[in-house]
Formats: sequence, C-alpha cells, structure tokens
Amino acid sequence: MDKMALFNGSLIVFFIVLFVLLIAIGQTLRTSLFLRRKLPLAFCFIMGVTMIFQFFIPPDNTLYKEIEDLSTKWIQIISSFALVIGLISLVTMNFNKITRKYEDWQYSAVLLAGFFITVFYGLRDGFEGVQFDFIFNYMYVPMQSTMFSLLAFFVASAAFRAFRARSREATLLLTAAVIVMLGRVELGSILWSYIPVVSTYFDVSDLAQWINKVFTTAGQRAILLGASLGYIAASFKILLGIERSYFGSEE
Amino acid sequence: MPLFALGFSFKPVFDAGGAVSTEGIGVWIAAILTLGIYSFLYKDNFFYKFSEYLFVGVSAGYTLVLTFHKYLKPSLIEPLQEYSRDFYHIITSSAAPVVNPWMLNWQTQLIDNKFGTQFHFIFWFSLKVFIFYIFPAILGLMMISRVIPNAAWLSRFPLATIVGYGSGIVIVTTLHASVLEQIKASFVSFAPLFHMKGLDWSIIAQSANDFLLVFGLCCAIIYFYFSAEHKGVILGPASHFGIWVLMITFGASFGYTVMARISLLIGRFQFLLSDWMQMVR
Repeated sequence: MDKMALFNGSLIVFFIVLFVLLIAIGQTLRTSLFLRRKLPLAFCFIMGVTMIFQFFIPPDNTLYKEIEDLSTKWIQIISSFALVIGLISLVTMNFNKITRKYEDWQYSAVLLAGFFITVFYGLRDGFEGVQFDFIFNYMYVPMQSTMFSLLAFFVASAAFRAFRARSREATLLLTAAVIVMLGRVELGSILWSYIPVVSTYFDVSDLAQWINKVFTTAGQRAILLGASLGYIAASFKILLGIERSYFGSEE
Repeated sequence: MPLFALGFSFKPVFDAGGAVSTEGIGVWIAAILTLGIYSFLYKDNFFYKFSEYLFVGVSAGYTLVLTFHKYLKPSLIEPLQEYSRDFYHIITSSAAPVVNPWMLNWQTQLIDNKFGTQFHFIFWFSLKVFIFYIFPAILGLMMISRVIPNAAWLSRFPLATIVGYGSGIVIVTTLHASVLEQIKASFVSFAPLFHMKGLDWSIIAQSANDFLLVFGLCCAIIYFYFSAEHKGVILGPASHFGIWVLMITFGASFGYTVMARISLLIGRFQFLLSDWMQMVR
C-alpha cells in the first residue's frame, strides 16, 4: 500500500479515536464547574490578552511572527471544524425532512444532491476539476448573482412605497438617494439636464460625489465611532468574563 | 456589426462537429436556473423552490470544499504529513531528503552533533507538532462534540478561544483604525484659508467642505449622545442637524446599494440576452 495512503488512514483513525476519547471525557466530567465555566473563561482571557500583547510587539520581531502564525493557524483549524457543525445540522435537518416525508421534502432531496455532488467533485479533484469547475461556473455563480440581483426589484418596490416626502427628514433621504442614483449612470445626467436652473449650475455626478465626500463621510464616521466604542466595551466584557452568552442558554 | 441582431438563436448544445458541448449545456443550465429564480417575481413556485434549494446545497458544498482546500489542508493535514515524513526519515537516518526547513535544521544539528541529542529532537518535535497542529485539532473536535448533548459543554473551549481571539483583535485594531484614525482624519487644517493670497475659490470651497464635514460629524455624534436631553441652544439644533446628516447618509447609502444591485441585474440580463439567446452581439 502507498505510504501516504497509509498515513492518511492512520490520521483519520487517530482523529476518530481522539474524538471518542474526548466524548467519553466530556460525559464523565460534565459536572465539574471548574471545567465547564472557569477554564473556558481562562482560555478566552489568555487568548484575548495575547492578541492585545501582540499589537505592542514590533512587526519585524520574531515573537510577533510566531504569535501571528500560531494564532492564525489555530483559528483557521477551529473555524474549519466549526463549519462542519453547521453542515451536520443542514444535512440532518434535510435528511429528517425526507425520511419523515414533511411538506416540500422533495426540495430537500435536491438540496442534498447539490451538496453531496459538489463536495464529492470538490474534494476529489480540487478547484481544477472539470466537474467542479462546471458546477462553479454554470450553477453557483449564476444563481448567486441572480439571487442578489433579485433584491433590486424588492428594493425598488420598497422605495416606491416608503419614499414619500412627508417630512423634512424624509425629503432629505429621498433627495440624497435620487441624486446618488442619477449621478452614477449616464442616463441620470441626461435626465438631470432637463431640470431648469439647477442643472445649469450643478452637475449631478459632481453633486453625488460631494454628498459622498462630505455628508456620507460625516454620517458614517459618526456611526463608526459610536459602534466601535460599543464593540470595544463589549470585547472587554467578554475578556473579563462579564459577558458569557456565547456559552449557551445554561449560563 | 450591429449591437442587436435581428431575431435570436439560442446557444447550441452541440458543437460544429456534432459532439455535445459542455459550454452549451452549462449556458442552458445557468439560463434555466436564472429564469427559475426570477420566476419568484411572479409568485412562489416549483421552479423557484427548486433553484433556491439547489443554490443552498451547492453553496454549502462549495463552502466546505473551499474551507478544506484553503484552510484545513494547508494548515493541518499537509503540515502533519510533511512533519511525519521528515520525522520518519530523521529517526531512521534515511537518505531521503527532508522537506521542512525547521526539520532540516534539526537533521543538520543531529548529524553534526552540534546541539542536542535524538531525545531532545523528539521532545521538541512532539511539542511543536502538539502546539501548532494537534491542540487546535483537539479544540476543533471539541467543537463537533456540540452534537452530543452530554458532551456539548466541551464546545465552550473552542468557542472561548475564537471569541477571545476576536475580542483581543477587536480591542486593538478597532481602537486604532476605527476610533483613533477616524478622529485623526477629522482634524482638518484651515491654515490654507488664512494663508491664501487674494480670493482662491478652490481653497475656500475645500475649507467650506471640511468645515461642513467636521460640523456634520460633531452634530451626528451629539445626536447619539443620550445622557442629556436634546434641548437648549446647543444640543437641540445640533442634534437636529445631526439627524439631517444621518438622513442624507442613509439616502446616499441606499442609492449606492440600489445601483450595485441594478448592475448585477444588468449582468444577468446581459448573460441571458448575449450568452444564451445570442441576441446582443
């Protein structure tokens, strides 16, 4: 047998044994308050403080690179496993829907077929595979852009219903949106030229740029400052163990 | 060549030699799925549901493949393979070349008897592999334990690691990029206004814009200040102007979002009319 195949097989067996062992330990020690609450909080604190500490090390220092390399690897590995949780949930939910013959169960079969075919060709051939390339170019990309473009209709419909110049504030919102939309396309400039007086002094494209440069920058900066301060405060609460909602409903 | 051809002919599924064309089939599938999703504009129907569920399945599959090839394989599987192969070659004194630079360094040191014994090597090797690869893999497996009710609490460790990492990064990077840098960018200089010779309208316009930006920013921040009632000579009018600034911001953001979606819509129609129906040349 090929040495690499043997090694890969051993690796899979090793991880399965490790997982079974972890589950056994988890079930045995589930009553320990220290393990359930205090140790995870310590993990969170140490990880956070390390990342803060890294910021104060010069980027050309070896320690900076070591911490960055290690933390990036850890997060990439853990996040990859976290994705598996979501996919397990998606597959089991749709599988149950099919076996119990719930309403619209046929579509769940379509979902699972799409999922497993993509995964099979993707894992087998990688990104260079002909079949995976076909799925990506002729199914994934068109469906994704169509789904997003569908929103154009709903946004237009919502705008038609909501954009009424009932108050001064609503008028400002409407005017800014219309100017920006007109300023982005050639047709907008043509339509703008029919507005008397204003069109002689102001170009719609320049006006849209001015709104973006002055008002949008001011407004977004104010929102960003407020949100960032809140974000930092929340992060401190998490690191100090005051905020523990990520532990789940038991806490 | 005219922009619009008279009439249209659909993309052929067979090529000139009579063989099945992959591109032709692909264009047809993409066109049918595109129309299936747009059929929702009429009402919820079989074609839309089929396309929607297929999209979810393919997206989930694509995300898994992407995560495996971009993150899991280069960060865990390949290094473990490389390290194990090199480790085997070193301890068996095999003539096969060692790939990893760190392992190559150890091999040189072992051969030259300059530093450390084989025991030292095995100790440092195990420690490095454990810290860099096995420990995060254990944390990852702990995350999967969430599906088993009695052992679900184990997932708190990887979650705490990710949340702690995110919080630590947020505190320093957000404070630097989103608070300090933004405040720094708001300190605009009006010096050119006082040093201009004669009436330079470009400097006056620039200064007026800068003033409006800073004034608008202050007023918008005052609007978000809830510790005092927005009344009086300063807070009242300032918070009111702040609302105006925010309204213009939201309007402009809405305009940009609409235009981005419209450009996607144009892209899809271009595909249908050009690639599929071959109407637009």
